Amino acid sequence: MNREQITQVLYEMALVTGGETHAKPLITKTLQRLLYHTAFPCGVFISDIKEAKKGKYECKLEQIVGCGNLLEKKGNILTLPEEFIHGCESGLIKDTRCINYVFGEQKKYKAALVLPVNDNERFVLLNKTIPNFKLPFGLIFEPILNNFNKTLKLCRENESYTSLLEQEIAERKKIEYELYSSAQHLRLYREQAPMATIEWNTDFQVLDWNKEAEKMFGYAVEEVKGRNFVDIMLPETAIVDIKKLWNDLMSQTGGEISINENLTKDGRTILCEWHNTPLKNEIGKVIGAASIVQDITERKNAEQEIVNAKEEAERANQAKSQFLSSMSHELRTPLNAILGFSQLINMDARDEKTKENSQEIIAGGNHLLQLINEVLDLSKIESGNVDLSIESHCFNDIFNETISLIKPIADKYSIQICNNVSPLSDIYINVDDTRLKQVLLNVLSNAIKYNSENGKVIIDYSLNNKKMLCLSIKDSGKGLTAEQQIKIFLPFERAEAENSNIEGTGLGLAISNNLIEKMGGKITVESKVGKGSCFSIQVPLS
Amino acid sequence: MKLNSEKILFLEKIDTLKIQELFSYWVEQYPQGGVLAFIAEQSIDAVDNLRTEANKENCTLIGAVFPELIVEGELKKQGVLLLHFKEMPSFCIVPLSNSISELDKETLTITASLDIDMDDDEQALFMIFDSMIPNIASFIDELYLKIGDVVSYMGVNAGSETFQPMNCLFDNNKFIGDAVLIMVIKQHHSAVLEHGYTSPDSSISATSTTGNRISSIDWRPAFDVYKELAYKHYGVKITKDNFYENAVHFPIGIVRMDGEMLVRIPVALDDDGSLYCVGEVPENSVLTLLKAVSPNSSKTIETIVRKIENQTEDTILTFYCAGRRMHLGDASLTELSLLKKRLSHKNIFGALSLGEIGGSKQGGYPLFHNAALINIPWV
Repeated sequence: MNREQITQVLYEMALVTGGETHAKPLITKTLQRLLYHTAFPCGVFISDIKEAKKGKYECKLEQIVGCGNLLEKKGNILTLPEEFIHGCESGLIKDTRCINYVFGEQKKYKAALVLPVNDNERFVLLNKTIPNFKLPFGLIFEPILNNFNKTLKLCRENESYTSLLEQEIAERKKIEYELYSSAQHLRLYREQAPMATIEWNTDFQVLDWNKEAEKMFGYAVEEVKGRNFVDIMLPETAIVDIKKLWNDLMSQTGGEISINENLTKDGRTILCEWHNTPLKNEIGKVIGAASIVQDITERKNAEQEIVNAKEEAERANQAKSQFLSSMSHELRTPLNAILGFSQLINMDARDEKTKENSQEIIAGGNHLLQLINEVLDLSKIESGNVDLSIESHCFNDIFNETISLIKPIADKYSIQICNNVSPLSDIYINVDDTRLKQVLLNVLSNAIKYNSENGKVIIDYSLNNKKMLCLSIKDSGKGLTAEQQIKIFLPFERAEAENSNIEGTGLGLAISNNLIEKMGGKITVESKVGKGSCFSIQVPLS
Repeated sequence: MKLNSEKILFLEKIDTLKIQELFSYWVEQYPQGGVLAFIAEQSIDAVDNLRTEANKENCTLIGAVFPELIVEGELKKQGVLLLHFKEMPSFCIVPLSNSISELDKETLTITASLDIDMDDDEQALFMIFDSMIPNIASFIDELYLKIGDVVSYMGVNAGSETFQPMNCLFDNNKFIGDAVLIMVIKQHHSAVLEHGYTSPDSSISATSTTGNRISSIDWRPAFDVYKELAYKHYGVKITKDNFYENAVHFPIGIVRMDGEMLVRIPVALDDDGSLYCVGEVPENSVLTLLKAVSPNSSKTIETIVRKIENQTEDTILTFYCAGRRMHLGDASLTELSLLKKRLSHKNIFGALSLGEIGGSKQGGYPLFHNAALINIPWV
């Protein structure tokens, strides 16, 4: 290696040391470069050298490269003989005893090249064979080690400043990254958003818009950049309103949301919903606006269709109720005549056959009359035309009246009524008394009709959170399946209607359910097949 | 071709049944054993076969794909070389991120995964890198900081001679690229690495580099300086058009003060005049344009033989740089046959490699080279 090449290597090393700002990587890199150029396989950097006793020195083992067996001793104090301090002429120690004294016998190092940095610090390069190098490394590296010494001193002195500076740089980089990242995200969201986004300057000129806006209005971004919104996308009828809205937005007095018609490139008129936000600079001055736009033409059309359909349905429902109401009236008039005259026939009948026949007409007529009344009731409830007169009533009065009405039926069917309600005298409820009686009669008559022979109906009560009165009517009949429990509250659904001779229209519970709901209560049923059913009627307390 | 049924087997064609029988036999005889496989690039499909059979027989398998294989001093474009261990060495395959900032973490993972006895002086780390890893030299520096001279270091790069990314390292569970496979070989001293390239007296400074890219030399675009030197020293006009044919003959050397140097073969050229080499070039490195070995020279092989002939091992794992083969052409076959001739009492097998790790001196600082031969006495 010639002089020029040596100078170049030293220059290279000077640049390596000059580029470092922290002591630890500076020491490691310099040590690695020293090993690389000298072909020594390993080395250490020792610091804090001081004389412990005459001829013996102590130092700290600060950094290790390659000496695997010494790794655990990093940071330890080593004892050095005189040779490591003052060195020999070439800087190469070949005395194995001397090397072993420092690093231990098991390390098998046979040569140590000592490269002084200053009075207290040294690089020591180690080799398991005695190298045969031609260059006086100790001498060659002297300028570079002087340079290293100065850099190391600077690194140590400025460590706290360097750390602070690095923290600041790291923080700035983090912020830059976050800004970059959020800009990226924003761009991504804007491009992927299923809504058009538009940016404007204060003159209402388009600065930018996304692909969805291109799709919505039909113009490529290049076609609209710098053009005024009024010129390209507004029908004449909307110009005045939109100009006012823009002025409001720029003066921050409104204009954030608007729905108006816009023109597309192909001449269509679309209805758009606009969400506008003024954009401000760092001193709060408005410099433009950003808008998110949605084409709501189809949505508005669909909404209008729904409104039309609803109105049509309401009209149809009203017509149905009117029809039912008038039909019921038209049916009741002749039916009353049939019932009246059949009763007269029955009263005047002289033979049994005529009596029986007229009785059949009366029974059939009564059933038909009940059916018509209930259909009318249900249609009134469904169309919202039922008029309830909800007032505070003494529950006992309503209940006792109902029991007295139902008692003869119970006796007829030999059903025992166990009434646990009678003591209630001072409970007041908010109901329509006539309608509640109707409900109670319906539920109680069902409990009697669908009971077993010589069965029981047990009536009990409870107060729920002092807000509701809960009346339970339990029978000892066949009970209901889960499916029947759901169906019985629907019109014309009767439990086991097909297998029984029990009379009924199948509307009673549907009407009762509706009436109780309208009074702010509810009816529920619990039942098990073979164990009877329990209907609970809840009504609000006064 | 059967070399040694207990230890090494070369199969030019993949015979699944034979592989199954072999794995079954090895597992039965040596339950703690395992197999290191080298696969020629043209036989890459064999990797799946080998892994399937190894998993069926519960046989530990690791391996790598190389451009070509070396069998008894000859190059083989196809085939599989199986190296059996009676006791499988400690090993790991670790994916590498190619990021300098991750090196500390990655090397810590490796040292934690491997069974290295810090009191045993006779062990070596055998490393096989994916050649596409750009910072192998920095990785070795970092590993050396953690383990030091407790082990000796030797290794090669695997992959495709076209330098196209591909999966080239595998074990029983994975077949991946961008990774390193490392084994701890016990009772091993070290390998011998030689390249025989020499340098002229003049040298230059790499003023701007990033990893394996040299952007500027002596403050000028790297390619401008490179072609001037090639003309000045060797009378060869290198242009952008003939760069790929000529660069392999005029590699760049990184100068060391002790006289040795590292070879870096330029393999690509950028529009801005940057040169890409196989292996890192540290910033401010002192460079020189090397004189490649002459096709008639036997000097490199003689140096290797001198260092290795007295070693007791009967087999030598030889890796021959694919770049050196590109430079020497058919003369590389002469070099390999000379090696076999001079070491006729030893088995010579291995592969064409894409970068070599080691040193010309035993127990030296581990360095990443190109254009070299690395010879590993095999236990």
